[in-house]
Amino acid sequence: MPLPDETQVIDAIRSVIDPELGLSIVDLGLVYGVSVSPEGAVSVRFTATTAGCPIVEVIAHGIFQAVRRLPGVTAVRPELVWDPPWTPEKITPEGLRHLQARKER
Amino acid sequence: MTAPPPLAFTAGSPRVPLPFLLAGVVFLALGLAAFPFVAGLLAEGFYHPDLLAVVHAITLGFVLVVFVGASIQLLPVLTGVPVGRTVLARAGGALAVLGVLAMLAGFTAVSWPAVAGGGFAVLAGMALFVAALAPLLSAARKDPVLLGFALAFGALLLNAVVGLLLAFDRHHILFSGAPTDRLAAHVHLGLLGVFTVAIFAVESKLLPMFLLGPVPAARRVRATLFSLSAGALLLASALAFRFSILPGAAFVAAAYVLQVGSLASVLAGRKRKEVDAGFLYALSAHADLALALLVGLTIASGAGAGTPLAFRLPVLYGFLLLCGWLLQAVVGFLSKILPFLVWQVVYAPRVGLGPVPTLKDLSPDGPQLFGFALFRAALLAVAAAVLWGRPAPLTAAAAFFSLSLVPFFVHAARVAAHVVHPRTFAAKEAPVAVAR
Repeated sequence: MPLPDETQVIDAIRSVIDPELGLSIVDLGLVYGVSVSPEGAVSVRFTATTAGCPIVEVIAHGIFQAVRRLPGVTAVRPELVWDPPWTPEKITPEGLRHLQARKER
Repeated sequence: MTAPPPLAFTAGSPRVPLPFLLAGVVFLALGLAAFPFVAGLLAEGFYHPDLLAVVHAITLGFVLVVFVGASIQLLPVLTGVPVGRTVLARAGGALAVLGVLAMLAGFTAVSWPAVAGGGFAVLAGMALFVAALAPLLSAARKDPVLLGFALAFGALLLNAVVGLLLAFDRHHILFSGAPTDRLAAHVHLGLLGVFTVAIFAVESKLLPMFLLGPVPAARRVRATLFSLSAGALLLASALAFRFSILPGAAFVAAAYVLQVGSLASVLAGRKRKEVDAGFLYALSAHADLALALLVGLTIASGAGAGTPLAFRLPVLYGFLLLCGWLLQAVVGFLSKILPFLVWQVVYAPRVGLGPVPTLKDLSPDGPQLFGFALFRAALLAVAAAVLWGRPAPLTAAAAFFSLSLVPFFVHAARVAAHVVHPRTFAAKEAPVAVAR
């Protein structure tokens, strides 16, 4: 079975949102990296906006559920990292446009 | 396939504090329903037990019970430190709820033994609650939010003892001098030393999170919390034992300036420009706190002595602190936190499986913004009626004030309805608007 590439994994993770902002964690800049092993094990390095972010577990759970459904995936490892620390500058241009659109609604 | 990471704070979790939040909202509804019937007493020049019942329905019934519930769920999440003894914490909280009920019944029936009994149950319940949270609070050195809650809960236990002594004093005279001095001390320790300290601590964490702004330096937050706690304690002591309030007032003012400076930094550096009702409540609560502090200083300067203002200004001061600051700030935070708690219970388990609603989808913004405008107008109406000092306008303004919070109750009910009837979101409704 063919393995998913990083883009497919990232696209799957887009369904994981920050409920307060209505913004995907990808566009929020919380996903730091994805790797897919030849055996189909997927690691997703992600961070949170602050050390006390109340949805860290929800994000990890959501990443697991979103990625496990991709064909060829045998394991999913969401890895919470704090280095480098997240700053608002990590929000993607698309994310900033989304936030701006919410302001104007 | 490895097992999914556990969702320790979501579906089915015994830590979800909805019963406490519901109890808090019911107490608020009771207090607001009674307010128009007792507001005329504010013109009479003494603190009638019925008024004390309304004040305690808001402070202990609503704010404290909400804090208890939110502490059980949110503190571990915000700080990464588990509660440990959740059952004991919930038992303590439940005992405190029963104590508040007994206190309200005691005030209404003008039975000071009942008030004292209820107060003792609140003290015992909160002592159990604090004991249950001790492992969490012991990490206060590491986290300013925990520091704030440790200081606030310490002041709460102290103030509960003060309240008990006040109730005993009504039955068996324990102290000489004016009872209003000790009542003023009790009020300041409660509103500033307990609730304001906790709110400042929570704000330092939640506002940067909500607004995507820079997080205030931990050292600054600690200085703010210590200054406010010391100020509240000094102020309460000065009022009870009749020495200069200036040192206490200076500490409180310093804490306020530090907190507003932190908020200004968050606002200036925020990435999220959208303004919602919860945020408006929080900002305008700070404006009312500033106004209350100015009125407090005016009273301390002796302005209005020998005129009706000598009684009306303290009433205005109390109203601004209680409703303009405390109630408004907590309603604002609850407007934000309640949807999040419900979302955690109902929708978090579905994340990653398909479209899920955002918090805004749980309850629309429009009615909340209308509610905020109504609340501001009602605050002004009551403040004006207090200064006018006539029973009829006070009653009318109080009725307006109580009604102005109906949109908040509607918001809370709409949000809570998702627990019973979760919505299914079709893909076209997906809130993930950003795509490649």
